[in-house]
Amino acid sequence: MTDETLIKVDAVSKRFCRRGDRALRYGLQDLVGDLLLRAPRDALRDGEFWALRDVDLTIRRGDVIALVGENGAGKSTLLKLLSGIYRPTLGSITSYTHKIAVLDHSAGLNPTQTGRESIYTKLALLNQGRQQIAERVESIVAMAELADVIDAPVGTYSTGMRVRLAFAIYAHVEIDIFIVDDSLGVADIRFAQRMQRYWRDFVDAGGTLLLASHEMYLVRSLCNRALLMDHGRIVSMGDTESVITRYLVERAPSADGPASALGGAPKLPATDAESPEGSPRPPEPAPDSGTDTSDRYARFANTGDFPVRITAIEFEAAPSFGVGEVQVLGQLCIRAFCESTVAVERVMFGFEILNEQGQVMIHLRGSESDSHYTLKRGANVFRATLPCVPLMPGTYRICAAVLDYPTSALLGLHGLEEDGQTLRVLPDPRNDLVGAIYRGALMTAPVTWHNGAIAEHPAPPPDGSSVPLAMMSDVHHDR
Amino acid sequence: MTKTVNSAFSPLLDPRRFFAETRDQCRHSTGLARMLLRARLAQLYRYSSLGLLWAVVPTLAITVGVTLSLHAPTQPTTPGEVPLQVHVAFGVVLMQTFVEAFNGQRSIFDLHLQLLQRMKFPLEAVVMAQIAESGFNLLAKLPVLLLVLVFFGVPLEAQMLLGLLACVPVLLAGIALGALAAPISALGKDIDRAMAFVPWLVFLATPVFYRTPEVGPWAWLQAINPLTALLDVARYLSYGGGSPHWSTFWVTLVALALCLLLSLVVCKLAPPRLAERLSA
Repeated sequence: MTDETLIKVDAVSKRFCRRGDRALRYGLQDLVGDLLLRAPRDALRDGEFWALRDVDLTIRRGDVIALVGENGAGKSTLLKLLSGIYRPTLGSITSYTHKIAVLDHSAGLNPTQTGRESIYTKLALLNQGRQQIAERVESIVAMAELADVIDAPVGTYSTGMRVRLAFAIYAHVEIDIFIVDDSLGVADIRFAQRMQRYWRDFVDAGGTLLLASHEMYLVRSLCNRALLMDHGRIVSMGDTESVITRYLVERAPSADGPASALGGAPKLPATDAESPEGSPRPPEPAPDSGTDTSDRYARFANTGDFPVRITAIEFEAAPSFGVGEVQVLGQLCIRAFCESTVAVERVMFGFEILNEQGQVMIHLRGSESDSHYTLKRGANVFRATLPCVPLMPGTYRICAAVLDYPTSALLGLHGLEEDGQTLRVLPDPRNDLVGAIYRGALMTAPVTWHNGAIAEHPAPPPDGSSVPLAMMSDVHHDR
Repeated sequence: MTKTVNSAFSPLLDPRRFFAETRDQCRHSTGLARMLLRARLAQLYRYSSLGLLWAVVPTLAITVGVTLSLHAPTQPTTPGEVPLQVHVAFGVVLMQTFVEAFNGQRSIFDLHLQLLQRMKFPLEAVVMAQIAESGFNLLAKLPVLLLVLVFFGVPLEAQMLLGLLACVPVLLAGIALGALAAPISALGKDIDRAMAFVPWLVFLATPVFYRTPEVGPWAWLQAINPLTALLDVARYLSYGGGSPHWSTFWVTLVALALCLLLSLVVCKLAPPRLAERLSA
């Protein structure tokens, strides 16, 4: 990267209108406004919204910038403004180059022209002379792998074929900035890899690349800087890894399931945690009878107050991150600090991890072994360790409870009414969870992959039994 | 290094820069316009067995049809006047030129709307390509006119070259109005619908199938109809017929120049507005 500025974006905002009829009318108004030299107005008309708001950005030669964010965050709008297709509603964009190529799903090809005509037209649009074009046509056709259909109208091509053709055209032109708007997904794997190789070479040669993509592996492997966009604003800008991490955390799965019974009976009871003393496995807590936590405790203590006050919940993660943060599939040690006014021989400690919608993601109580805690007057510390946190990246909260072992009555509760202790689960860069996030997965899990093909293809056993596993090639990838 | 500013403020605030950029863009777009024209002609005639003959066939068929259907003497009844068939044939060809140039700008604009949403490119090239196509269409019609003149025994004189020159304002009128209407009708569907029948109204209000009246209220309307002035001057210069309203003609030429300038400005300003509003 050099200090040579290629594009400077100053306080740019862009508004759009969701209503088709008004959009056209507003377009006409804006056109007339231009003719009458009206100054731009920082206001929305009926049906309009800000697709981009107050964006400042400087793109220098050699920058390789990823634009990440959810659909509708403003990525494509920003890219179209940068390439000069749109005009800002407010602010200005100064470009110091006109050698900008935009590759998107539709590839900007005229469907009525043949592929060969499109090559000529597109290259002419990119300021290439007839001689230069003639010299490159066959090479472009070969690169796009469209020799058989190059004289057919582009309208008969599949989306992937159009992207291949457009990409091959751009790859034959000297370009300062390559803008790629999420077009990898429409190409087949082989061609997508070819495009990636081209972009790596382009970047290595000092080219400037702006990549709007949901393919995080590609973003990670190519980009040295990333912008996280949300609701038309750049909410984070910095090194790729940290921005992607934030993006994935904020795009945590959101289930629409019913919220946890925060005000109802506690579903928290005991833990599988480190148990200070051996004891018989505690029984299941009594089923929820519909009474609230105070009532249940009142039956035990005949008072309105819990005898155990959980004063704090602390986490210790391995590998270690910031306070209250753990990596996906990382280890998490939870400590609950309590002040008790009573001494109880046998109690259970338990906790729940809830997502932002209040849905219970993890519910743990008691011990898998025959063990129990003893509660003393004064300060107590309960500890539990999750060797592997199977949660998707996102923000969660933890509620903890201490229960009387024989009756399952609540002695202390923390987190349901006080919103709990926040736990942020961070993505693991080695683990691409984008697919899981798209599918709305709520959890993940450690896994061992058994890759590779069957080493031999012997005739099936006469009894019809399956090929023994031992014949599989022995390639394992542990996660 | 080239510096371009894409600002929220109207580019017309700096008119010198705006027109300098437009001029440079036009200059750089000639190659592209040539290529677009070739591609356009190839598309138009790609799937027809008559190919480029289609540029002549409609005019020829209409002219023959009109000539045969008119129950008028084939010889002039008054000295210095041409048969009505010649008058109508000229009117049809010139009007066709106007309507084709008008609709051509709109159709090529529509054709490139999708492209406008995907990439920035000089719309000047598209306009120039369509101007060239309209010119090509006019040239393709001229042999038919010559045929009509020869058929009806109208002497061919050198003055006819002036008549050809006078066809150019008709062509430019179609181009200017079409280029002005194209982006506006893309943004306003009411205007778009109106554009479908306006050429027909113009057709009726202009003496194409009849001689220009010289007395009465209709004559007054024709005297101020700019298209009538353009058509009649072209007729007059070609074969000496018609009733040219020279004052209207000159006013029309000035208005035409202004309209061309305005359409150029609108075509330059419209693409980002179209791209954002059509994709919204």
